[in-house]
Amino acid sequence: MKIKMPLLFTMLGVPFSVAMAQDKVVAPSPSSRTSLDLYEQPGATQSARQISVSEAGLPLAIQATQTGYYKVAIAGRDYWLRGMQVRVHRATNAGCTTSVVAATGATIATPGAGKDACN
Amino acid sequence: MHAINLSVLPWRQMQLGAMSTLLALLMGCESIPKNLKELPLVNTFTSEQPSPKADLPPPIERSWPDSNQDVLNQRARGFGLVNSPELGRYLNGLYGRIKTQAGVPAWPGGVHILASDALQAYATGAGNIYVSLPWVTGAESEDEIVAVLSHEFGHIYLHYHQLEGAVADADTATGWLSIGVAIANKTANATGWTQVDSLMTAYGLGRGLVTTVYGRSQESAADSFGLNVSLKLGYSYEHGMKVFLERMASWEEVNEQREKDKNEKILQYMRQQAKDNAAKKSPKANNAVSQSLNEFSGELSGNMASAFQQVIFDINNASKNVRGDHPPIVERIDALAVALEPFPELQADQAAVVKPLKSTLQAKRTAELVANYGFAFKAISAPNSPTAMQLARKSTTGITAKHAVPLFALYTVLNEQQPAANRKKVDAGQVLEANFSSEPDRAWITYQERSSKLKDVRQIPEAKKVMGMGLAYFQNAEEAWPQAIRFYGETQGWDEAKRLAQNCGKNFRRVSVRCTQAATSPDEAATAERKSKEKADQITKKWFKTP
Repeated sequence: MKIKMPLLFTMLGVPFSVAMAQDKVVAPSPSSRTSLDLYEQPGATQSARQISVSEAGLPLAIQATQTGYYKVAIAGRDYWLRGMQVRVHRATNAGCTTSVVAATGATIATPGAGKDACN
Repeated sequence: MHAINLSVLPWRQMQLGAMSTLLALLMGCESIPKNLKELPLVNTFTSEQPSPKADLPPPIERSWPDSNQDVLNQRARGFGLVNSPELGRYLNGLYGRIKTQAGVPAWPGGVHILASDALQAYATGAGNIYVSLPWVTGAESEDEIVAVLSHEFGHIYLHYHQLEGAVADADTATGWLSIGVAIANKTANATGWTQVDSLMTAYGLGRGLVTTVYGRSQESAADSFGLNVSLKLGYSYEHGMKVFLERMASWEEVNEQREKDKNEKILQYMRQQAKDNAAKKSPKANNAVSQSLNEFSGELSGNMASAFQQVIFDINNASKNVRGDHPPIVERIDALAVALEPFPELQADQAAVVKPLKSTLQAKRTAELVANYGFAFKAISAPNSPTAMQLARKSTTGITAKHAVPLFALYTVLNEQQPAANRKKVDAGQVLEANFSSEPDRAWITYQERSSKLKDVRQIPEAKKVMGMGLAYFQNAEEAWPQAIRFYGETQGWDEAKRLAQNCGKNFRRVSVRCTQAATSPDEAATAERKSKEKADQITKKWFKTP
């Protein structure tokens, strides 16, 4: 099985398990989705079963990833969820150190993708 | 702080009333919405979620601001930019493909890396995209990087920078409310808000609402644009736009918690301060009954002030959803997911493109640069820690020896940590001067900090020399001027500062107000503050019936 590792953690020598432990499935995607398909194996043609979102017990820690799938434990059993069906909380290596030391104030540019949430 | 009388002051109603009144005034001001109405695209590309396979709207002709001057200006903000030719080449290669896919390969501008540890990205009207280091080093794949860049390019392609003019005009139109801002600036400190601060809240809400409709629609449009272009380039939604938005949502959650913790500390401080003030007011109250009464009264007052503060926080938090120019990120993820539903082929499992990004980040020079910035960020965040000096020194070696962030880390640690008993304290500011000697690494902050500290210890000629060198290089960067004008006011007199402010206003309209403010002498500032207070008292007496 090919496991994708976040580059930053590789580079900084942080154990992969730590990085994985920080990522978790937090909600269905889109939010209006009411059920989730559970798979025995990633890439399986048919889902093993379907459960309601409320049954899933979100959030769920991600144990492993494979293209398009996340391995999670639901009710004591391991399943694979389709990545497209869920929203994931993702770790970030960002901080607010530089913003505190050298606050830049309102940008004169368009705010863009990451308005400085530190200010 | 004015006395709070809950029996005559229904605070929530009063704040809402004040806000409603001012909002009505603001929104009724013809000049503001008129400008916004004239801006294109508000109701075109964004009225409904476009198909991810749709053709892009045709590019809009425009005149381009000078791209190099724009870059220089960004180097005068915060810690400036990270000089990394290798990383820059990789990112600009991706940007070139995005432009080509959008049919505008010859458009100007490039990608530049912000020397910031926050998750930040923005685009300017000059065609430049600025992304902070963590967006690049924390990305899991090239799909994610392309998503960020495509989104940002969406702002440029859709001509979002027209909003800058609208915001400036809105500020001018609401200039009559500057009194409210002045009051709030004076009073919104750690001792708590006064009722007058609701004016500031109203101002903020009004100004925000003016730009919100346009801003929000543009964010959604940029998402749709980013999805469209990144899919056409062969990248996946799941590893690209979805991960990009999920990471941003997670980052904002972390920051919301940080903000909550900060607010809680302020509330605790206010409660304690009110209690202490009550005790000070009646120091002679030496019998147990009156002392406990005073303390109770102080605590009550503190709790009331805290409650008021909490109301303001609640309003601010609630208003974020109303006035934020970014729609809630979950809504953005949902919108893209829904847009993809009719296209199963676009949701098929597809491996992320990892190798090119990984190779770039693992290349020797880039890996060293990223590691050294990591050391520097750590040292700045905890300059008193036992390992801070070692980290800071390591960060200023090799490829980053003259970069502003590592040098600032070492400067900060040297300032914070006392020298050993037998050693003389060094002039920490000297380390910043290494940045002056390396043209591509220069950041305005090093000149500003060095000249300011030299001025503080009365080494005026040396301070002027540093400022002169800085301005010689950054004179076309508008962001440098407000600080430079303040410096010359303090060292060469306020007439000179005013002369410079006039030139600044002529050359750089966007910072004209800041330049004028920077040229205000302490005496003038004190007079203005006194007048503001008098007016504030009049307003509060009239509006809030305080004694």
